[in-house]
Amino acid sequence: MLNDPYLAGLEARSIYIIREAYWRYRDKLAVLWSMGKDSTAMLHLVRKSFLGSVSIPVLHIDTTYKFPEIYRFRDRFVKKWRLDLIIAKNDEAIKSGMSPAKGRLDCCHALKTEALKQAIARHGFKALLLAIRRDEHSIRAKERYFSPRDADFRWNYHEQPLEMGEQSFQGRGEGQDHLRIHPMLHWREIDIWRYIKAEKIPINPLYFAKGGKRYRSIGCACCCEPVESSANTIEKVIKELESTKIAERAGRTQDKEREYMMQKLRSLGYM
Amino acid sequence: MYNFLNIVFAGEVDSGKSTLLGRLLYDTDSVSIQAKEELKKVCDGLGRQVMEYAYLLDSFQEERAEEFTLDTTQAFVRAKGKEFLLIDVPGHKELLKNMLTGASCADAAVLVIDASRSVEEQTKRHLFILKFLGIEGVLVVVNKMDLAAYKEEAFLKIKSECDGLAKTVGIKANGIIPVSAREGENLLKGSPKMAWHRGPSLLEVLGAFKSEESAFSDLRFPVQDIYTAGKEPVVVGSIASGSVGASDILRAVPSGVELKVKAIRVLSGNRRSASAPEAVGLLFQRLPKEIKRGEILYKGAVPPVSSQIRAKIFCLKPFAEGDPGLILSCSTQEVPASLDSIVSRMDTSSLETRYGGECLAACDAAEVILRTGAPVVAEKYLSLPSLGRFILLKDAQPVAIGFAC
Ligand SMILES: Nc1nc2c(ncn2[C@@H]2O[C@H](COP(=O)(O)OP(=O)(O)OP(=O)(O)O)[C@@H](O)[C@H]2O)c(=O)[nH]1
Repeated sequence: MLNDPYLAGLEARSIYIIREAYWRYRDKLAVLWSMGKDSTAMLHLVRKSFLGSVSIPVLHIDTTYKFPEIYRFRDRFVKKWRLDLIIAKNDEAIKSGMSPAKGRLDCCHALKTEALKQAIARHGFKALLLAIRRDEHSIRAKERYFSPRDADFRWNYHEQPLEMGEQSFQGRGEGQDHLRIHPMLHWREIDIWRYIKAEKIPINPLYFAKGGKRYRSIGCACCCEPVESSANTIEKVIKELESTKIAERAGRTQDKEREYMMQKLRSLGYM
Repeated sequence: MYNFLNIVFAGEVDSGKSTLLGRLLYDTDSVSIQAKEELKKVCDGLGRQVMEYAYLLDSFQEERAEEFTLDTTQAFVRAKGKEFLLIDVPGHKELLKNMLTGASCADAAVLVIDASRSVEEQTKRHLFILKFLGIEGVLVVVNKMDLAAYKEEAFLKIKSECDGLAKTVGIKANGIIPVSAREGENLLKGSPKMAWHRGPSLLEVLGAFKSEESAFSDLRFPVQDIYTAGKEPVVVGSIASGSVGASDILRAVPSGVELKVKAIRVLSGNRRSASAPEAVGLLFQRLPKEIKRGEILYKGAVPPVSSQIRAKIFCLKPFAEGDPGLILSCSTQEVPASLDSIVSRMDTSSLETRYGGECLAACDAAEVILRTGAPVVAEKYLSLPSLGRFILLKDAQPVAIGFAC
């Protein structure tokens, strides 16, 4: 059991939301796993919610540009946790040579958002669990736990549902294609690391410092920069985060390239 | 659930809620270097003469261009060894649903009033809503003191209006202080420009806020779902209050059945006991067929169960006595409902009470009698909010929030 009552509160709220999602959507629900720290922590919460077995498909949006460590990590834990893994890849775009060189916004859109669209259509998913957090970005801070998307994946942030704490009350609206569910919205980066430590959740080695640098956020190898750091253990990462003034996603080019890039990407259905 | 305070900043359109929050974040160094850089870039890009600290929270392009808050947001502040979660909400009447979403997460509140204006419609309504949500600790902040040349008279004028308002609403204000969010006066430390004000600064007042522990200690376990582990059914849910032991005898409402716990299941195995707020699985010696989602398992005092509920509600959309198709949703319970009668209703822009009538309008607060298609369990909202509040839905849209009284 968690000794930290604060983490216990965060965890309980997340599990409640995951179980609500499963109650409402059953086999139409999937969980997105990028093998990063947040979605791996979420997968742990999913395992806790279902008391062991992961009863829903696990979706990896594969741009083919991910770090090799990410693929290794994926394959190892797919076996260990007996996951029903679905790899979502926009084969057509990849074949025709889509890459960040063609424009980062277009690349993210084609290889992530479009790939997700194809997977949703193919498998008929109606709801997805995503590990986004409010403290990652001021646009994500505007999200709800339960957030409807239309067929074009648009996020109608002008008209978001009523929520009270972890309880969402809006039924399926007209034009809703699927529901994005964000069970970890209320977690901070440092909470994630404290939780990883407390629960001994396996984590990708890319997060730990090598040669004076580490990744704080991981995605495609070509679009992630490591930050200066000597934190090579979980304890040191936590210590670093207690005082850092560097934004978590400072190493992510897609966030800083253009003003309102995140808003644009998100309103087009990006995660 | 959290061991630090969640504070909502409410108040009239343009009173400076987001600016105040943004300035607190900025001055306490609770935002990243990149966020500060972006803020500067955006202000320059929009040709603003001053730093618009509100942009740290108002992140949508349209919010920045038009200087208003569209939707609620949250941000953490770390200062002087304390942490707070600050919640920004929109002031516009049309955006009340978003205001409620934000305010319902708060333990305490700051009501922001523009020193160059007076107590207006949304100030009244927001204060009423804070009281309605059971938030007792409300600090009044008189902002934009720079526009009033930092004069005590302006502050005293708002103060006397507020005293009257607090009396009408029936809430005890938790102090009142003058600030200028834009100029950063009296936020972290006292302001020489307002030497006539002897009280502590905003941050010092917030730091002294205390959250109240719920005194509710009997077990309440709303059944969320039933899974199977091997061949056995497992009743899953989050413990709303109290604790459960591995061989306890529990009862359930509304069904009234009795159950004997066989095991408390979590990912790592079985546990001897578990307590709120943990999410667990329960296995029983024998699981009666009455147990399904929406049943509340309990120990101690029998929870109130009824098909006729006297409730206080706040309306988001108009509806009327006898309207078909209402659904009442409380915790994991969901039952058909109808509005039986209206005891009294209040127009929350004037705070005037009226009796009788058959219809409710958006932004009305009312005391009503509801009838439900099946018995519902509702605790007193103030003692156990998660099992005390409910939502009325019509065509899958919320029409009112409320709680049993
Ligand atoms: N002179 C002066 N202007 C201020 C002060 N605080 C805020 N403002 C200005 O008041 C305007 C509204 O401020 P906001 O912070 O956006 O107001 P708000 O209460 O969050 O508005 P809504 O969320 O839309 O209701 C902006 O132009 C601010 O620059 C202050 O202390 N002094």
